[in-house]
Amino acid sequence: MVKKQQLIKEKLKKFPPDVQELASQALEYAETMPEKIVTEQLKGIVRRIIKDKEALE
Amino acid sequence: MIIKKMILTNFRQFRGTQEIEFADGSNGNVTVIFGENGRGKTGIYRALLFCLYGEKRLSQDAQVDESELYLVNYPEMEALSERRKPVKSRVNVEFMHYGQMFQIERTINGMLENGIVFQEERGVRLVKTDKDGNSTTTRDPNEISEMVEEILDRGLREYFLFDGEKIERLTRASPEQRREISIGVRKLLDIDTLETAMKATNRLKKQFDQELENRATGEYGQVIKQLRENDERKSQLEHKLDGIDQELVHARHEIKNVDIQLEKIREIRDLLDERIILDRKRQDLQSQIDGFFQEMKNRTGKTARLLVSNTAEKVFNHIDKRKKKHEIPSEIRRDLIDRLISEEQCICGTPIKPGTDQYQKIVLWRNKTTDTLTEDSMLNLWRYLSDVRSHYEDIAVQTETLLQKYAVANNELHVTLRNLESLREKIGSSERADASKLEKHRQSIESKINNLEMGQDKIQEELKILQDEQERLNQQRKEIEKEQEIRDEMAKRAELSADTNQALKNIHEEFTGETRDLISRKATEYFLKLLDEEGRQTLRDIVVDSDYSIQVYDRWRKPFLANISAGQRQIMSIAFIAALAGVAAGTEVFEMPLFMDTPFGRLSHEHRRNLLENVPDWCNQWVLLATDTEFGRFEARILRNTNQWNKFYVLKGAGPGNTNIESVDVALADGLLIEEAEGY
Repeated sequence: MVKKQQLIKEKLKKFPPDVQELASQALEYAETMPEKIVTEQLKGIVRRIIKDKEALE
Repeated sequence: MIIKKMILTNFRQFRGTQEIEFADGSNGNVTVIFGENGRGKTGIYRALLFCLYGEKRLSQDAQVDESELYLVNYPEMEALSERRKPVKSRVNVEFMHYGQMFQIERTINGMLENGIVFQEERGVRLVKTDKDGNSTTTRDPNEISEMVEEILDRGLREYFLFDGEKIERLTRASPEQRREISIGVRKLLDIDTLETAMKATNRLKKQFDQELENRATGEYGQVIKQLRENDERKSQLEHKLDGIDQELVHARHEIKNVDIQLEKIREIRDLLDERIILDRKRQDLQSQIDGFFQEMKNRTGKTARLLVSNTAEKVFNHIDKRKKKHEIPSEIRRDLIDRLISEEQCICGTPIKPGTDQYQKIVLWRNKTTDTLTEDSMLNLWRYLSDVRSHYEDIAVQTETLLQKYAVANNELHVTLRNLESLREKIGSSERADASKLEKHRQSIESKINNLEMGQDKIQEELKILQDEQERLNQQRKEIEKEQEIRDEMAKRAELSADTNQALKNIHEEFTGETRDLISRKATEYFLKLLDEEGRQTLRDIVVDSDYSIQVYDRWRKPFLANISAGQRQIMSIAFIAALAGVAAGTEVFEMPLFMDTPFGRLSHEHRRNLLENVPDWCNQWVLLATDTEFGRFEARILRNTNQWNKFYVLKGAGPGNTNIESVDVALADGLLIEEAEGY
């Protein structure tokens, strides 16, 4: 099971860092939560990623 | 899941409290539970399913009324019935799952009253102990059910806990069953996690787009709105496409069934045509035979002559001889000679006295002559026989020819009648099968498939157009954003969600494709190891389809699933399961038992050996519930050689309706087994 997560993470590496981060978080939530809850949780993550990116810029 | 122990209390045939400790990999991973038919092997399988999932029925119980399905030990209920006390029946299963210990206990009470059995479930309890030794107890059946489903999804249960003879139905699954299986498999392979993440980011994207649309104005607002509407339209079309896909699968499945029925009818039609031809032949032959018979009757008169030919020949020769001697016709008539004798005077007038030489000579002469009537008759007879004799040979040849023809026709008729009888048996009761209705039905399904495929093409075309439109609009959006420097947070959120969703979709497509290929390769590898020599000559690859249905190909790359034997299906299913488990585990150990009831029923000698030699290496735990006809010394020797077999239990009868579970040292197993198990 762990190896699969690693495989997916490997495949994510070809995408930009913000996409990698959001996707990884989505996968982590999806292991234990249903879709709707994952969506709600990700909203906060998205805001944080955008803010961090803006701060860097 | 590695099953450590099972404790049965008054469950099915197992009266009192009885225990099984399973080989758990610490010193071997194979457990054999052995017993004659009716001793309770399936009861152990039943106990496991009851404890883990609360299931009271197996697939074999489909026709059994619930009221006749006794889980509680009947003799114990009988014993306590007079005291009107219920019997407490319990199954306790202990298992490990990735370092955590689980213990589930499920109870059911039973009571026998006035000959009727009452059973009532009394609850379930789960105790979970983590790696640090901390325990939590749950008694909520729904919560327990969820936890167990997390460990081994009910849809996948049949892959790992199964009836060996029925496992081959994995290869025969209907479209609905395949759908269920694919859901379970995706869960096992963690693909469902990926899919949940995909759907969540898609939902997120839509929500952000909606927010953006609500805020955006002008051209930008229109583009955003159009993007959203296109997205919705795309979802609708994709949903419709899914529906069409399913309908197509159903329709193609149905056409296959119709074709099978039509094929049967075509075979029968050929037989019917053959029967018509044979029937005509029968009639012709009968007609010929009747003709020959009539001819023989007509010839009876002539033919009968042959019967008297010898006698006729003798008579003819006798008369002929006398004729040649001039005895007939006689030169002087007898009545004249009589007159000469009576007058005692010759024709010339010379007296003929009795006693004289002349008188004696005339008397002698008279004796040689025949009376006129007889003479005439003899001459007529001689003429008649003369004529008849000349035809004997012809009559004989003609009669013989006629008889030969009759015999040949008669033989041929008997053969034809036998063939007709044999045809009748083949045709059987399906004689009146009408293919026309099936043909019409097939045509209507074909027409439906055509329409569905056209619908599919249309939708795919529309999706392509939408996709192009979305790309164009997204490009336009970016340009507008760039131009208008609209980089507000909302737009960025929407963009990030969209990009993440697309990334996950790409990964999903890659991952599922790679996973299926890997399962196919592994399944093929295992399958070829399990097959016998003959099977390896023909069968080559197992391929897993996108819906996780399995197909096997022969060496000419033709689908061959419909032609393989039940035994080959069984091992194909086992190879698939082992491959699935192997891929799910990756390089880790996949903690899931293979729990097989009646593992070898349909398998040949070689298949069994291959299974026994290989499966212990492919799984963490292998539990075999085998009868004495399946598991003999031969099987025991092979299993012992793997050094993985370290638990052996024998189910022994202990009175009517009761079985005792006895642990036996594996080294002493041979004493209880027959030399050669049956059923090869």
